[in-house]
Formats: sequence, C-alpha cells, structure tokens
Amino acid sequence: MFRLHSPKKYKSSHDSHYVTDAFYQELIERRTQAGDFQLSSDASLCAECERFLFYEARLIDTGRFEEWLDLFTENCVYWIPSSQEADPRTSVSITFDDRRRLEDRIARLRTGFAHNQKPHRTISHFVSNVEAWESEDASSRRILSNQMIYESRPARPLVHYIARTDHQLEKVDGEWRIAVKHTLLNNTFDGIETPTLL
Amino acid sequence: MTVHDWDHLIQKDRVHRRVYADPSLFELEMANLFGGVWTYLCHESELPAVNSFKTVKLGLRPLIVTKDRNGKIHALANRCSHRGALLCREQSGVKSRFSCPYHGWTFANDGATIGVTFPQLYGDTFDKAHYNLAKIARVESYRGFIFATLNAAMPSLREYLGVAAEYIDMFVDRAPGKQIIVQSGAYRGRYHGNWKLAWDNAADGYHVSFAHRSLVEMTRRRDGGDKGASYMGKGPDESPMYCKQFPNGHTFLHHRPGMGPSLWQRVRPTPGAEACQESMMADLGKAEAAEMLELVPGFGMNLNIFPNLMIIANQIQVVEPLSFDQTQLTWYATTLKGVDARVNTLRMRVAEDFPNFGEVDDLEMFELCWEGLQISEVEWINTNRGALRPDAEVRDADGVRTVTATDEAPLRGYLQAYKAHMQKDVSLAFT
Ligand code: FES
Ligand SMILES: [Fe+2]
Repeated sequence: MFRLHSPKKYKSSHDSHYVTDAFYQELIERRTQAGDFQLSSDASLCAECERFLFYEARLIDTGRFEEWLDLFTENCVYWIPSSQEADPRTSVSITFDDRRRLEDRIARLRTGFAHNQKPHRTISHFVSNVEAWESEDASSRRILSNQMIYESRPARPLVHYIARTDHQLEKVDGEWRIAVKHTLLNNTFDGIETPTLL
Repeated sequence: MTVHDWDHLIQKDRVHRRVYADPSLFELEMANLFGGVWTYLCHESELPAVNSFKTVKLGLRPLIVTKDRNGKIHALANRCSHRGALLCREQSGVKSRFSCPYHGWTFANDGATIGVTFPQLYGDTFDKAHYNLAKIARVESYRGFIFATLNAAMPSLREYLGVAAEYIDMFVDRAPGKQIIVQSGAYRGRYHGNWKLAWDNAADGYHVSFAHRSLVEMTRRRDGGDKGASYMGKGPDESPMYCKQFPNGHTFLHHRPGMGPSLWQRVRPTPGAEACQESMMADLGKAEAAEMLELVPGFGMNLNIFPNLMIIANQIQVVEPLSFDQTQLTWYATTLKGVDARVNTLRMRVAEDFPNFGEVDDLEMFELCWEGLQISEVEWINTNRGALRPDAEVRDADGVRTVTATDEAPLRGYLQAYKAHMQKDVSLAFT
C-alpha cells in the first residue's frame, strides 16, 4: 500500500566526498567500455539479474520508496543525462543525484506537499531486453535493459518515458546493491515532465 | 480580424481569462509580440566559431541563426526558398552552407543562394539572387544576448531594454572578466497551459512558501532549513528583497539582499560539493577557493525580458509558446570561461536542483491555473496585490517601480506592456 508518510527512517548522508573528477571520469568511460565485464550466457545469472530489476521496479511501482533507496550503495549515483554524449562535468543533466540528493528526492515526495504528486501518481515499469554482465572476479554486475515507464494521474494525460537503463551492482554485506543507475531517455528532446522515479 | 476591447480585458487590477484562454489571441501574440517587439534568439557563445549555427524559433517561425565567415551574425528563415521545406534539421553545429534535402538547392550561411540543381529549365534570365533565403534585417545583441525583430518601427534593442539593461550588466559583470558561456545543454520542461502563466510567476515572491512548500520542507528536514529559498517563507515583505517593474514589460525579482553574505554557504546540498571544496582549498588556498566557490550558485536574481527571456540564477530560461495551451520552458545552463573547472561542474549540479525540486511544482501551478481558467463564465484573474497602496502608481525618473517581493506590480506592468503592443497595427517583414 502507498504510504504518504513512511514511518521508516533511512540513514541520512551528510556530505558528498565521493563525487570527484575520477568518479565522473569512470562514469563517462563505462558508457562505451565494458571494462572487465563480460556478457554472460549463464541462465541462472540472467534470471537473477532480471528478478533484481523486477523487484526494484516493484518497489517504485508500489510506492515503497525507502526500500528502493535501501537498494543503493552509500556511494551511488542515479543519473539521467540530457543526451547520450553529454559529459556531466560540463553539461547539465535531467537528474544527477548522489546518495544525499537521492535521499532528498524521496524526502520531498514524502513531505505531503509535493503538488505535482497530487492526486497520487501511479508508476508502472515494463522491463525488457535484459542482459547480464559480470566482472571477472564476479564481485560486480552490470545489467542492461530497456524500460518503458508510465506515470498516470486522474484527469491528466499519461506520461511515458522510454529508457535504456544501465545498472551496476556491487555486493555490500552479502547483498547486491545499486552503485550506478544510468538511465538514458529516448524521448527527451522536446520538453518533458520530470520523472518521479525511473 | 476580431476587434478586442482591450480596456475591458486588461484592467488596472484584474485581467480577463480570455487573455490566456482565447486561441484567437495567440495568433496575434505570435505577430505583435514574438516578432513585433525584440525577441530573444540565443546567446553569442552558442555561436563560438565562424560558420557556427543554431536553430531557434521566433514565435512559431523556424530560424537558423548563423555566424558567417566574417563573424557577422544572421537570422535566416529556416525555409527553403524553392518550395518551403525546412532546410536545417540540426539543433546546432558548424556549416558554411545549407543544402535542401528536397531538390538540392544550396544556400550560404549569409542566406545567399549558392546553387540551384539542373538550372537549365529555369532559362537564361534566371537570377539566383532573387531566391536568397528570407532574412531578418534587424538583429541586435546586448552583452552577448542576441535579439531580433521583424518590425521596422521598433526602437533600437538598447532602447527597448531601457534600464533593464543595467540588470543584464549585473548578471554579466558578476564575475568580472569571466565570460558567460552557453554550451552546457538545457533542461526542457513543458506544461499544458498558456505561456503567460509563466510570466505571471516570473517575479512572484508571493508563491514560494506555498507552491514550493515541498522543497522548503525537504530542505528543513535535511539541515534545519536555512538553505535554498527558505528565506522566502519568513515574512517576505519585511525582508530586504524587492521587485522591479520596468517599462516595456520587463520585470525583476531580487532575492540577493535576503540571502546573507555568502551565496555558497546558502546553496542546497549539491553532489560533489565537499569533494570540490576540499580539493579547491588544497590547491588554491582557503581564501581564493572561497572566492571561487561564490561563483557556483546563482546570484539571487530573476530578470525577465519581455516576452521570452528569463535570466534565473545562473540559467537562461527561454519561454517557447507552442500553441495557446502548450508551452515549453528551456533552461540553458551556463558556465564561466576562465574559472576553475570544478566551479563549472558544481554549477551544473546546482542547475539541476531547482528544475528537479522546485520547477516541477511551478509547472503544476500553471496547469492548475489552466484548468481553473476553463470556466468561461467566471471571468477575472486578480492582479491587485499592492495596487491599492496610495503610491501604487509612483515610478522613478526611469519609469521603474520598486516594490516588496510579494507585490504584483511586475505582473500588472508586463500586462500593461502586453496590452499596448497587442493594440498596435504592426507590419512585419523578412528581407
Ligand atoms: S524545397 Fe528546397 S529544393 Fe525544393
Ligand atoms: Fe516558483
């Protein structure tokens, strides 16, 4: 059930030390380079990656935003660039959230005063074309997918986003966590409504 | 043409809903205002080299703004002179000539026809100069901002800007010797509603603590609330912030006096802020780093040049009416030439903050107004906040009225300018 004020308190980060030039550089390089990741044909790995995306989508689509936030690492980035080639150091993104800003994003949605969320928006993710990539030492994974995300509100036109999504997962305390969520939207040249959560 | 009773539609303290909701007015606006007055096209830094171009719209007219090989700027109709096809489909780039995809006619970036394919059939008397691209005769810049008008009767751009030009100076001279560069992409928002709803809001210090309550509350939860626009909630009329209503519909809202000594200290939590601050201090020393970091946030100003340019913080926002009920707002981010790269990177992250957490609610307000305005029998929009003060009509020698941040004088001012322009019999032409 969608809860407007979540009782759960997330651990809040107070500073942003990790978004350095090297961090940006890595983000840019991984757009075109596989690094030490290999495309996997292992059926159980692929199924596991797919399940992860389905679970993540379900957390958003059912309004469990704090649990969704818990899926991210402490040094994460949630990035929606404005174009495929843009360097975030010199270009404005649609969204570029480090952990702290992502927490604030959820906090805003929970204030009860986010006017553009009233009446309540229903979000639906459709996830397909999932590819699982694994690092050589199997300590991290990359999942590429295509996604369609719909947002609807009563008496408002349906909003849709067509996305090519790239997740990088790292293991934290035995659990897979999202270190990078990089979502390239294919329908942003004309003005868009800022997505609630992709 | 319909005759409108303008004195009825726009009064001293209220405006009729038809001014927003009547589609027949839109056509007139696209002539008398967009094209009829000086309309912003783009920034000179978007044409960095010779043969650069950028495609823009003047109202609904597609244009190519070019810089020719001598560095001269032209505003050309983006329309092939043969049978009218859109000539250039790219947003920007470098090209000395444009070739039409339909039958292959080619034009130079100053508009001259270079070649017509298989010309024999046009006969011996064919004069290709007769088919040069249509061009706007009056293109003028002020401090890097390029404007155009199709109206020969308009005074110069400088005269049209009037005192508001001094506030463009304020924006440009904030970082002396550091040129403003518009090459960092844009954030494109869009709403269902008339473009003037964005104008009503452009110097509105009244809505902040209500419409942006989610942002104020989110900020308070993070750090106790002394960041971002929180100062707007605490008795904005008692604060030193103010608005200005300039002649010709230009308006100004100045937050800066309410923002304390350091802008950097006020900036909301920003990705990479601590990393940059510490590495800059290590490299440049504390004092110089602090001075540089002051160039990261916006300058606490909204400067609105009627009808389509809004300089908000570090961003250049362009109002692009698509139809009477659809509006695109494009926020161009800016960098500064000659500053530490980390300052510019932080400017990108700061530029994302308000569109993500503030603008979303502004757009929602515009859409709510649009829905409410659909009731045709309920006619009036009230613009009378501050209009009953005994000094409500007092202006200084330059025609400027300065008021507290929540006074609706800027709104009344732009509507009066709008009304004057809409009643003119303008004649518009390309050359
Ligand atoms: S329309 Fe351009 S060459 Fe025919
Ligand atoms: Fe606002």
